[in-house]
Amino acid sequence: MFNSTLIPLMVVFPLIAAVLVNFMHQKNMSVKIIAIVSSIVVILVPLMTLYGVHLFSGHIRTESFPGISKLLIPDVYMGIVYSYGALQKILLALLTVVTVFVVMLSITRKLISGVYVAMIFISLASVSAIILADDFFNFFVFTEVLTVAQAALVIAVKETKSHKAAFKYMIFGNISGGSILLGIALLLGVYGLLNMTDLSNAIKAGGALQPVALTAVALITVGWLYESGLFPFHIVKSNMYENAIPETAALLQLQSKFVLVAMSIALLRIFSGYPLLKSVMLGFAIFTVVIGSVMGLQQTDLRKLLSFVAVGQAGLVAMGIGLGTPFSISAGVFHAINDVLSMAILFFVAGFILESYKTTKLDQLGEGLKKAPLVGLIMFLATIAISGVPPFNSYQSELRLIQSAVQAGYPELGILVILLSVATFVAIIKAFYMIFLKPGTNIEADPKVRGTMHKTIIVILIVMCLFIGLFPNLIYDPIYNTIVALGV
Amino acid sequence: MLDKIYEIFHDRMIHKGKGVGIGSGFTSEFLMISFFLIAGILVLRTANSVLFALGSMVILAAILFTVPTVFRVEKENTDSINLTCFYVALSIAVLLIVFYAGSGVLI
Amino acid sequence: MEPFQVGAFLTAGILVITGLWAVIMMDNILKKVIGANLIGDGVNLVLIGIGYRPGGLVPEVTHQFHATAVPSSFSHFLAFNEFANQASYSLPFALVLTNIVIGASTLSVMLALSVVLYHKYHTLSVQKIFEGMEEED
Repeated sequence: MFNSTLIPLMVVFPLIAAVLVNFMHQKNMSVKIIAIVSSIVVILVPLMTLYGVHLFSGHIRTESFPGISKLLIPDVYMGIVYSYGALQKILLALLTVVTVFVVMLSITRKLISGVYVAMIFISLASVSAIILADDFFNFFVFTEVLTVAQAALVIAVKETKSHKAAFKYMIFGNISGGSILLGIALLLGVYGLLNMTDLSNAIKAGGALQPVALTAVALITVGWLYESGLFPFHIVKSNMYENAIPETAALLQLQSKFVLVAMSIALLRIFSGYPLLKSVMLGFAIFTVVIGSVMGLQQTDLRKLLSFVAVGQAGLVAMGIGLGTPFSISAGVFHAINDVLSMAILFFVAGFILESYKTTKLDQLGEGLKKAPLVGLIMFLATIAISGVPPFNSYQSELRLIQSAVQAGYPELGILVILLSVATFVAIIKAFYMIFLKPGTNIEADPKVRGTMHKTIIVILIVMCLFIGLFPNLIYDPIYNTIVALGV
Repeated sequence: MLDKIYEIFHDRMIHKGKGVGIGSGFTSEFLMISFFLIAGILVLRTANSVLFALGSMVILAAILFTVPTVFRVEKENTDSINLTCFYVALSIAVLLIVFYAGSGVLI
Repeated sequence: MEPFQVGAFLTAGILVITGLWAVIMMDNILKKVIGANLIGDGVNLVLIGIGYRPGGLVPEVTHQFHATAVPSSFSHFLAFNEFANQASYSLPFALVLTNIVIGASTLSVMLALSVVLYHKYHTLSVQKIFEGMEEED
């Protein structure tokens, strides 16, 4: 029996850092020091933690007294459980790296906000807990905390558009949070359990789902649609990405995709053997893929374009997961990991453009290669990376997605993935042309903006994309083994 | 016929930039047409093969007569809170009906 | 099911549907916010209704209770199955308390946003605040 003490630290430490940084708001030096120290710790903890399970308050797995309690399984977990394996390690390592990049960018501005950095740390803690949690209610609590933290990050832009985007996000967040909790309550009423492992065993033992449990499935699926940013919540999510500071949008889209992965795996584990759920997930995912890329192609503002592309790629991840075979689910998860890296590069480039030119409207920009040739090169490499061109990472994941779609008996979906890659490429290369290659520009770049931090970060990220593209099995094999072991 | 389609796109997208914008408009239109075809094929493939062949032709013809579809899709995906509320209500209803109907609880 | 539970679930259903109706159909921004809060209240009532047992004992944790207790540890109290048959279910109350806190924080953020939007647009109508968005671009 394992009881690693570092596992809850991955959630607790960012929360402590958030409280400290918030307390030191307006004392810029203290905020900087605490943020830098916390960033180093936050990156090291997932790498140092051993795989295992953490049982909160030491509540061990005990007998459930089925005769008295009427529970369907012989023994249950008595407390909250966090589990840490290879998949969680990969997700958390990536999450912490990109979060630290965003924190570094936030503290190198002239106006450092302790509250802003605190919100970034709170969102990191929430996503870490969502990835680690094996308890459904704990999972729900952190999704609600994440909603508030993400809304706060967008509100901090202090424009009316961002306030409206955050308001819509919170309203729909309330509806979906209510749906998830109602689903959890109904499951608690029917099966008497909150732990995900126990629930999945009880549902397998209980036979066909009763109407109350079916209502729970439907309601939790509504919550899943919101957390992932799939149809019909794709507009709300893309609005959030568009109205945030681009670096923060990079973090928001990463968090959304990882919550999508975590929640999909949780849903498939709990309601395993329910094929209708997978078909429903697949249907909504296909819709999102198409609408995301179609809308992305129509945009004339870089941030809006990138936000719709991000939403479309989330749909692609959900499509892989919705196909339901272990191969397709691991391909979907692998694609999530690859896609967040390329999208992060593109959003960081958008942040650099915004800082230099004070606008991201494509028809006003142009001749960017003269001002920032390195950024142009990296944006071009990121475009071909996200479109699935070898030797970059998305090629490996999209290849596996197409193969898994064909193996599952849906070759049309393979065609759809290829079409999506082409559409993504067209959308972003259009933006690349209009920013960097198009002759004649209405706006001059700000000569004081050097963007050294931006350039360093995007170079590191593109090297990571190349590395994963050349050695995909380092990341893919642990994911596949975990998915097969979970039995989803 | 392609000239006519180009004219339609040019008129509707006049505020979105020159040839580059229209090229991406074409791409999105092609993507929409392929999506309708693929969705139709996916659904009809499991049914009768005659229905499959005829149905695909009908879908293809119907779409080609209603080009451009992209602008209607764009109008349905604006930032409007009322539109999103409508689609949310629709999705909740569709999910509940699909799950109940699929399990055989409803007759 | 006890009559109280039936009543609780019906009331919760009415609350959730009213809240959903308010969020989707009402034009006033404050009514949408109240509707969102009503959904949370309905869900809390469902949770409380699940935990109800008529005449149930409050399962107090005394200093003699241990995390690894086995039925024989209860020998100086009621017999374990007697206790289990009469105790009320305490878990949903913990869930409800957490949800109330979550609801309060999301309500405060939404109300703050409503105030800011009112100061900018001088109207509480969602139509006027949000549908004018396309002109800004």
